[in-house]
Amino acid sequence: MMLERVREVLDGREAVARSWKEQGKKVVGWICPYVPEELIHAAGMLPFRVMGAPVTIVKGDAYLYPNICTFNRVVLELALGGRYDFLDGIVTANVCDHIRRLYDAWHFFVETPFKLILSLPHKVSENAVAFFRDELSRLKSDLEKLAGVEISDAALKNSIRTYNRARELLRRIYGLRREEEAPISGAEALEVVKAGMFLPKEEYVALLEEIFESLKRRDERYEGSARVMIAGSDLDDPGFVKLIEDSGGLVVADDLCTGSRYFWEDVDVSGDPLEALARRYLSPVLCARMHPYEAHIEHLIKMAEDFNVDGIIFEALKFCDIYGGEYPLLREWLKEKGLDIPVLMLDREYVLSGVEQLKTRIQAFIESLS
Amino acid sequence: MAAAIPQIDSVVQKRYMELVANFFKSAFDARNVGKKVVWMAYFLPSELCYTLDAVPFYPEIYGGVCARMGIVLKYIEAAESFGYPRELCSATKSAAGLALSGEAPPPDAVLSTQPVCDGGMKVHEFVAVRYKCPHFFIDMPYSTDARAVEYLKGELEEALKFLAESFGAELSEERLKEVMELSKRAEELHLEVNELRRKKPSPLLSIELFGQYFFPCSFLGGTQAAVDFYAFVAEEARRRLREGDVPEEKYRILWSPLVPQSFLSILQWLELEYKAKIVMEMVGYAPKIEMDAAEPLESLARKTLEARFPSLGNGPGVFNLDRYRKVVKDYDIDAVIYFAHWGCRTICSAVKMVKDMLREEFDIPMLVLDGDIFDPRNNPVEQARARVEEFFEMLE
Amino acid sequence: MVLVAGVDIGSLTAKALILEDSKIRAYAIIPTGVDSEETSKKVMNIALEKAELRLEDIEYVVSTGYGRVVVPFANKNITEISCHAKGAVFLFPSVRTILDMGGQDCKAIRCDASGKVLNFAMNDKCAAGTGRFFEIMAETMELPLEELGRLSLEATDAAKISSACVVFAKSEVLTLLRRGVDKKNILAGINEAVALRVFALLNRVGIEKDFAITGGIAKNIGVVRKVEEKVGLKALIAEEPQIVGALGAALFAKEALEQVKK
Repeated sequence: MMLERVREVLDGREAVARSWKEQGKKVVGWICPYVPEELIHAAGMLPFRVMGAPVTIVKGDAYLYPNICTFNRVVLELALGGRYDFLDGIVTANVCDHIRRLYDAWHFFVETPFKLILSLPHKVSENAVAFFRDELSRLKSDLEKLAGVEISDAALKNSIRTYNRARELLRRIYGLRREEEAPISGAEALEVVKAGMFLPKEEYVALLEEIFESLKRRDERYEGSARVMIAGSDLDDPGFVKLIEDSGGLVVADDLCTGSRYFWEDVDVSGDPLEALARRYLSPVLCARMHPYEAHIEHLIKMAEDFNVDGIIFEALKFCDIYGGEYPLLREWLKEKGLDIPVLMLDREYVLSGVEQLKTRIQAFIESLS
Repeated sequence: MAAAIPQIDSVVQKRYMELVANFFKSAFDARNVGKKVVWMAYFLPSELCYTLDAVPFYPEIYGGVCARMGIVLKYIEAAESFGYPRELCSATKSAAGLALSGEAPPPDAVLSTQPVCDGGMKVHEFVAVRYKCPHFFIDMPYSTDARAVEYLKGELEEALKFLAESFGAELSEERLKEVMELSKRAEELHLEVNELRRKKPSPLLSIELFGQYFFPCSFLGGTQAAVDFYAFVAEEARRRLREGDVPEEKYRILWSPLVPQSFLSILQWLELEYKAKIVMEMVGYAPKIEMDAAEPLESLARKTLEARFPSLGNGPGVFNLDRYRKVVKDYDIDAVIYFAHWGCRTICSAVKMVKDMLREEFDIPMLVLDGDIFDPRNNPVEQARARVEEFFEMLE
Repeated sequence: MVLVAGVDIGSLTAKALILEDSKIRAYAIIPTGVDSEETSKKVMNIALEKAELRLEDIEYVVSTGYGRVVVPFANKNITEISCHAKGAVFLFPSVRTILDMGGQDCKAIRCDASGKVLNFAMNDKCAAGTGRFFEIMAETMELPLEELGRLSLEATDAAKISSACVVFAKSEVLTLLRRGVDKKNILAGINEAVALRVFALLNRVGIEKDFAITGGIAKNIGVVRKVEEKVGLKALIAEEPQIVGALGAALFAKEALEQVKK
């Protein structure tokens, strides 16, 4: 089946990194989609998204605190346990309070050869673009040192083109979900996007072309008693999406940094590539951390309307202040604009738990939509 | 466990309470005297408001006063009822609750930023929506180098223009310089008071200002009142040293980072019963910074970026640790008490790196107290007392 | 004549209800055992016996409650949130806001005139105001569970309990007991703390009249009074508030059957 390779990658993402390293090349981990992967790619290294896995948090609580969201504690648990020892570098940005402390703990307590946190502005202005371009220029020279190569503008533009191609294909695949009966379920779509965060981009682009072609011809179709969109904080667990789909809803769109937000916008290939990257990655669409927050909510609503959804499941990791704080803003926004889109607020842990209660809420919400 | 404000026999405390009361009174009275009110995120520079003759209102600081008086819970509960998570910082919730209750002076404009925290950032956005008033976000860089100062300077300039435009007021360079002259003076006197607190024995108690020695230069920065207040405190400290009228001092404590306004009795036991004097609070620590009234905005950017925010411990961790190293040496600290405010992600998650560093580099013990700066529901008094007792037995 | 049933497998009690056309023919309530599937058969059999019917006579069964997926003879499962709204509006057509206080969770539900859910909120991994919560309080104070409500009304000066979290509340109650505070006053304090918590939950969905309380805790008159005080509305309470979920399920069964027959 066409998703075989995708599942193989997801089941053994470290294996992808290992086989890359066997060719004598380096792997750089990134946390949060504000890190321009193109720069890592252009230096001939493999960008690898740092994610969690189902583990019990023990050390993570001693080095961070239990009031940090479980995504960050799980990731630290893995890193302290040596699961990310294969990384030659780790790059993140001051995206949120939790990530900042994850980086601090990583800095002090995990041995990774190269570590960097970018100072990422919170708004999009010409000053902010110039400031972030300087930060990226620093990242670029650090990566050059790490890889022992120089990143030419031509190479960087080439990487940007490859990434844009992947983005375009993902948008096309998402487009198929606009149909009444979608050829791809929400859980499958999340798997497809997620695989791209570990695979070498050239291989991923080829895989996406194949997947897109076979989806167009796929006989199997998905439907549900309601069309649902998921929005909110870091969600990379297809099992969670499946929980919704098993409860009768069909997930047809998302506003997630592990989903549409990751690839919705391209990088401009004309002009100075560093500036183009700074502009693209300062996007308010990528995360609700940015200003003005209205831009993110507008994107979310547009997505919901485009994909003709009946309701939105808005999830926030417990202790996530950004998405916990965005929910009241979204509610006020809908009220103000007179939009009648039902929203279910769910708080959740990174590793699926409390399934019974979650199921009741989700099912009740879907019952109220149909 | 709502407690009345722990009052001690101190002219400094008396004067401080007057200062705080007048500060908030001016916000409540603003409408009547035709002045504009600006809601400010914690630690944004008050100088911006004073330059335009507007009155700053800091909802989280006002929440702290309410916590001190034991009346903050209704605001916290109002925010929770509205849908803010229980896990959100109580100071932030008190700000949201104040907006929801309509019991605070309504803003004519809102200035917000990201530090102190993401939760605060989101709540200030909500405040602006709630009151349907103009809102400007001041983007505070995470780095603190020259590039960051330059960036923040641009932001502050925009913020001033925004306020002037919103109020239809004229922005006067002259006035800005005047305000910055006062700001600089208050900053210098604040440092002078801090210097005096370094003396052994230290002439001042933390409880005299409820652990908020940074208050006047942060929220009244740019006013004569702040200058006069620090001058008064410095003079009183010198008098005590001169006359040998100094509170007894058995231990020198660094309290870090925030002082719980709902739980001030703990400071009182420490300083009065255990003679463990809090000679510095991390949140109020400030290094000497370059301030030049001829370069008002750059000075203000420096003050904000280098003196106000980093000591709170927002990160980067490397930077925070350097601050601790300096304070521990400068103030000859015997022990650190770290108040792990449950609502604060960054404070709590710095515990291990700070504790490890203090032990490894200075052999200084650190007591971690779990609690809540504002919410009395989350402060088990008896438990905290037991922890403190154990800690001092160990220090003996 | 149409015969349908609703089966509600809650965390503490299981309920079965048989509907004959639009009339309740019989119902049963038993404690939920370790085996939910067995419990569902048992409670259904008791209801059938009371109605003098056999399972084959029932044309459609809807299951609900946390054990809704394990009921082997159910044709369909629907959440207790939808069922409580349905059942409450059937009993009291003017109801728009429902507070369901069950064995292990509390739910605030808003619905329309047909009983369709518009919005709901559930308390989070928190036992405050649930059957389990009051069981623990009764145990801690060595009082019979069914006496709690009545006794609390005799309070003269409600004690202050600052937390409705079961762990904290228990230790606060122990402290108060040691200090010799009257149990009635402690009970009133507990009810106050619980009422505050569920009031916050209700505010999250918005309160519109009329207002009903369902679930086992609706039988605790002390809690009901405190909640009414906070909400500012009189609570409508069914004669047997524990079966509202099962009733709603049976009503859904009837609708489903009509659909099928069409």
